Amino acid sequence: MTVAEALAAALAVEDQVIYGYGVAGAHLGGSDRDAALQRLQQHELLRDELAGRLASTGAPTVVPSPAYAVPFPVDSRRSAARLAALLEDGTAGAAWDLVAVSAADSPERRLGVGVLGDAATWSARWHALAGAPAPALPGQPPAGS
Amino acid sequence: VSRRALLAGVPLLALAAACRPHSGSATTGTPTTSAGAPDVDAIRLRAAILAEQRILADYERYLTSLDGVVEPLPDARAAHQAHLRALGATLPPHAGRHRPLARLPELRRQLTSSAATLRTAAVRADSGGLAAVLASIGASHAALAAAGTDATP
Repeated sequence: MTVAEALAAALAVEDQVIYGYGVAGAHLGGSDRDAALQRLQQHELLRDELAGRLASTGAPTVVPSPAYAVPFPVDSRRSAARLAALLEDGTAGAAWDLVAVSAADSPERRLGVGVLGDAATWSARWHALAGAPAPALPGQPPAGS
Repeated sequence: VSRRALLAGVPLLALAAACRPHSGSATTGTPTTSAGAPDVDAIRLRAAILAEQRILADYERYLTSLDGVVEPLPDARAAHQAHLRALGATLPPHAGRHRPLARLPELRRQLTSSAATLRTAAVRADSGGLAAVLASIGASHAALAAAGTDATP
């Protein structure tokens, strides 16, 4: 995987995450909904940054799908939190890849490390709300992959 | 199409493990070094192991002091053990034996400090694989430190 490929993959993930937060947010209320909205805005900024960096490499842009199907029914606060946790874990995974393929001290390395940290913190929040433990190693590919 | 992308062209939200790429084995071999130069990545790895062993030891001593009271940092022991395994290290049976009993605010400060150190090490590491592991552990430490506090988003 090259840096451009990692950026493109992260951008594709962000498209999914932004869509997914819209789904999750619809089933959250109060401070949870506010938090989801806050995080959605952060993901939108991240998407734009990734798109800009990808464009600077000369690689073709990533075209988002108009809609995505969620992997399980989201019809409650708990399932919405579970989806949000899944989205953050996906973000962390993409960031892991970017960190792994980028050069030391490069802007991409710094971006990946920062994104991984943010995603882990949000993942922990949503996992707690969903009643599930957060991953011990955010973003780590599963064994054997 | 990236391995982490959705099913190619198919509009499915599928951030599942099956779509994960292969770029991140944890300890990822021997850190690169030029001839005669200090192996800085090896030093980073060793520092991360020592810090993790210390945190785990302090955490276990803290748990002992609770004597059955509800654990305020959920899953932290398993997380730190997983961190050590990812670093290729063994668990420290008595690393904190002679240290004073840790208290929760101290543990949180320790985690926060470690997270910052690991982030810096991850940015600077020559090995991408090591960088990813350090970044991930640092991210986990930050999340654990924030759990149940006002720092939680």
